[in-house]
Amino acid sequence: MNGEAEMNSGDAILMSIRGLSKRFPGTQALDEVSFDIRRNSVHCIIGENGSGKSTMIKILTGALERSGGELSFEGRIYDPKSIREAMSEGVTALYQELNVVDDLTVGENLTLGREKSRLGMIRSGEIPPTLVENLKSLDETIKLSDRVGDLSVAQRQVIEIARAISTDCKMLIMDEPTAALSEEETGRMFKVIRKLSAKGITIVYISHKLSEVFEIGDRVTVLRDGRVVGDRTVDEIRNGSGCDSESEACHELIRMMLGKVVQEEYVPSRNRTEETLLEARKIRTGKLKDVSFELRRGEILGFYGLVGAGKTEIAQVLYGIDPFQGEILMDGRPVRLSGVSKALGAGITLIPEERRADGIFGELSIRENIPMMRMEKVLRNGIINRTLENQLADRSIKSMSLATNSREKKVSQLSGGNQQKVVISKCLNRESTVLLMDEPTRGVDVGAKQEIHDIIRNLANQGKGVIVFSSELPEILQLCDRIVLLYEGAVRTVLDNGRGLDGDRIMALVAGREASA
Amino acid sequence: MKKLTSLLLIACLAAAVLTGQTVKTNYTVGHVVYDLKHQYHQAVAKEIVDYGKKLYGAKVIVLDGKGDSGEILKAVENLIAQKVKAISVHSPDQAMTLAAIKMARAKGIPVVTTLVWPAEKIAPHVQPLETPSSFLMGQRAAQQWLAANPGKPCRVAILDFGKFPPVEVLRTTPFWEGVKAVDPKAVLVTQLNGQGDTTKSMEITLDILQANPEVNIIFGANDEMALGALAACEQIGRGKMANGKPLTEVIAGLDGNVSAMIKIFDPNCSFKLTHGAVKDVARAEMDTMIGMLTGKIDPNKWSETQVLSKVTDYWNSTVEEAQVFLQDNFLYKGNLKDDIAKAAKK
Amino acid sequence: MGANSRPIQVDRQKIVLISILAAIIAVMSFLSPKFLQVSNFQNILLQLAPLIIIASAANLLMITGNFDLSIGSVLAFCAIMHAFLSKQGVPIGLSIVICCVLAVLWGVSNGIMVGVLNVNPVIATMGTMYAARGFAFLIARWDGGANISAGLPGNFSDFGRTNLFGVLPIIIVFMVIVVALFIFIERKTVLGRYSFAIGGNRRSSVLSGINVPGMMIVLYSLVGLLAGFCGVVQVSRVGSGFPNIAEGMEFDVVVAIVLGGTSMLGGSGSTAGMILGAFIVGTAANGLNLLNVPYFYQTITKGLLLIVSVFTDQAIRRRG
Repeated sequence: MNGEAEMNSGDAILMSIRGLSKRFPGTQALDEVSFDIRRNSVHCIIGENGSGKSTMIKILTGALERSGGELSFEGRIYDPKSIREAMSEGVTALYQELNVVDDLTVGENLTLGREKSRLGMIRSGEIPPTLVENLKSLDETIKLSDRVGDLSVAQRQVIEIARAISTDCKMLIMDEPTAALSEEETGRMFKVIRKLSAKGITIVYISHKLSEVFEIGDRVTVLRDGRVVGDRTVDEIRNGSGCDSESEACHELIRMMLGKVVQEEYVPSRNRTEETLLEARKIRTGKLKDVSFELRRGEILGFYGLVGAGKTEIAQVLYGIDPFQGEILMDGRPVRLSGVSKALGAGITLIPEERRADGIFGELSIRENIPMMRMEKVLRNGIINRTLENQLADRSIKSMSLATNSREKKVSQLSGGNQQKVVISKCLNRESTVLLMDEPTRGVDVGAKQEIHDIIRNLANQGKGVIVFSSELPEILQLCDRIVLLYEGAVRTVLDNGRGLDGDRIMALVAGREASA
Repeated sequence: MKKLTSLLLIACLAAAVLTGQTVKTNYTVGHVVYDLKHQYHQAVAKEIVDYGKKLYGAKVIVLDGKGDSGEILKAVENLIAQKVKAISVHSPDQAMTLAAIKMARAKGIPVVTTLVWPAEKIAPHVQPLETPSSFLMGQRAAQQWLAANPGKPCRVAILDFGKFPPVEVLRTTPFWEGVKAVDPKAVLVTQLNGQGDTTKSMEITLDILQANPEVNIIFGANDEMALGALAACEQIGRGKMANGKPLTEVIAGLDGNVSAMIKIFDPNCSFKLTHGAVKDVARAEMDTMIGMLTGKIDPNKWSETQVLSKVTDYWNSTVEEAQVFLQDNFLYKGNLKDDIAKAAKK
Repeated sequence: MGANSRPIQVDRQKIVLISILAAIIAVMSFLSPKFLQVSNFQNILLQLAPLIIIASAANLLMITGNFDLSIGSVLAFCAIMHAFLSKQGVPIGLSIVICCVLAVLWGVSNGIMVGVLNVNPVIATMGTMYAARGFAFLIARWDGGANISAGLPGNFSDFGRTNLFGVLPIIIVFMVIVVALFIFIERKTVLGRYSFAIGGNRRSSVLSGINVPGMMIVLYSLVGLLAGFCGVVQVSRVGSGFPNIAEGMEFDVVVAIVLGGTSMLGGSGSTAGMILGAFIVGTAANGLNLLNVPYFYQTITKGLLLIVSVFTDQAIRRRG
């Protein structure tokens, strides 16, 4: 935005990040990340899910400790131990989950939690004038007496922003602020961001939506698998790399985000049939709008859409977790999916998205995890038989190429990819005909990703019906025979994979920018 | 001597009540029970209600102190709020009792205390004469043991409520002194907290007898603990008498409830003595409350109504006497002889 | 160090417990000549038997991340009910069966509240704790007093005081059977495996199709059954029924289980550890009784023992 200002002096750099690393058990979330955030710029950070964006925000705001690297802020070493400490240095974040109380008024929300800001005393009801001014300057339509619950999401965000900048805020980190906003509200939010910029506040803007980068960004850093793969000014991208349209520039960014697009070739499933295995008719929930589709025996069906498009909701309906209206048929017969056991009984198994929270039993060994969904396999006379259990575990370790030195190893000590293989083995033991795979390779390294894809293809070739829910477009393009595109809870279109299907068009469709084909 | 005066006192009170003014009132008074879980306290509360209604036409509100000072104080506050005419409190907490008396008095409500006197003696009090009876039981236990086992001096174990001072004064110390008066060579081997509970006392007695197998007199400061001690003895093959002749040990309890009586009159069981008073205590409490309300007793001055705590033992009492005692005191409706026979039958 | 650290930690923790127990035994043997005797260990076993029997099931329940505060009350309820029924002329054997069935019903009600209606286990079982205790007093009241002792049949105490082969008290025999059964359940059955699964990751368990509410009902019923059964044995040993027995027993059970290394959050623990925990508490209490140590010091010792043991365990885990 203010390109000229930042060139003036060494003072131009507000925050410098050098060699920042963060290791979680099983994954390297950030790997030697280095870049600078310039004073008074709008700095965008983009990347796929799992690329390390949220880990980075958490480190910058003191919510998470780093494993290595150095940070400096305004030329001084920056090492916040808590969110409060980061705030006192001038770094504040606006998270996706809003921190406002719906039942209080705007005024009450503004003073909420700020009681300690001055000598520990602010009488309730007394709002510091700077706060009121900030709010006015950002959005004059909000009144102090309004009940927050009656305001729009964007307006509620403005309240949080006003609160955030009232403490001497120099850098405001916004984590996908437009994810839940309508187009009109998004426009208003951009106005707010420009006003903040005019006040001299540096914005770090995290987003999925590439068009936004071009609209408000000055500079963009692209993360992939915990590494920086691009760090340029928006103008450079627009002009420098020979792109003459915004859509080509978008493509350039997508390429950076995804790496070499399509490493694996799409291989059609060998035993595809026209026989319908599962059919969903007009599924309707709070989020889903009349979703209908069918899954055929021997195929891999992909569901793709942006965050919040409804992928997880469909998986939960099919696995009996969420109640719904509509009809689901298995082999042509209607089934009642009023609980997980009903879904399992009908022959549907879910391999869940959050494997740590929903899939594995971390404190138990591989051997104990694998038969968990079908204990009959390891029982003899109703008693757990160690030999059967060992055999089953060894078979799974072999067929999944699970990298471990012992079947007795606790699953929590395995890498992300191997954990996912344990979850898949556990679910496959159920021998269901329909497999739902929600983000099957999230947080898994490249090699394991390839292996898991092969496992999925194999399942389809064995005549099962597989549904893959993924927010990684390359994965969808590599794996799926047919692709259902979701946009805001509705089916946008269903595409056959194969020649001529390109990422740009899909991106446009799921971003709602192009009418369905 | 002391016993005689107290008997006289009771007689006088009873006479006054029976002869003269059977004051029919519509008073509502309050009674705070120490802990309604105990048979003894249940029986006292029942007697106060029945006696108060029958004799004075008074209504008694009974509240449970649940064995807790705070609960007892709350109960007193509750009664004050209900504007009762007088309150009787049975609490082991002397300081708290004093506070309760002052609180009630501030609202013009007189209070009578029972068994455990308040920290300052400023109000009428009903005192069961437990000390002499406990002493007497100690004497008798020692006499019987020595008569049957002349070569074996007395070795005493006591189960109490955790060295709680009024219990020391009224029960454990006089019992031990009674034993010593008979057998100068007697030794108090141990005194542990049975928490007033049968199961706990059973477990602790097992340990006591392990460490000190020579123990031959056990006193439980209530019948529940004495029964627990008996169960422990029986578990390890003791607890026996040969037709009233001590073989393994002599056990004494306190309160005099049915469970105790059944054992006491079983000639082959070693639980043999107990003492207690329910009816007379309850009546004295009720009489004192009415006395304060009718001006016969000064509610602001210490005065003590003494009540005999009757000793029952195998050697000096008859089953018939015990039957009467249980009927009078514990609202017993059964036939003690039958119950003893039933329990002894195998 | 990552690979196999966990199993080593578990063993270390058992070693700590065994060391503490050995230290107590050594000190007590030194201080009291009566301590190191067969009859004394029989005493300790007699005192610990009801606790260990109930804690066997409660341990599995805590492995799922739940507890039962109604143990003492259900025990008292069944104790007094057994006395009541026996007095009414119901044959002893039949009365025992009826009481066990009632105990299971208390457990089922806990299980339904926690597993199906998702009431917080502390609240749900605290409700049962009050209700069962209240009924215990009520039954005594029906009988016409504060306890049930008069009018019990002469053979009432036979069951609880039976000695197998003339030497082994029946409750110790039951203890051995129950412990063996629960070690088997823990290691060799679906029930045991699912308990670890639910405690380790409840959401994963639901998504894996494990019938979590059903499991809760089964486990709470087992705890109830054993509590009720111990009530029957205890009342028979004592020879008269008191509604106030076993007050606070639930906490003794929790202490033994937690000392034994079972996490309050669930997911880990073992029957063997629980037994060690129970023995640490029981041996210490027994030794202090032998030494005539007054009750308040005993309570202080119990508290210190719990804190020191758990702290040592945590320190070792953190270092490992």
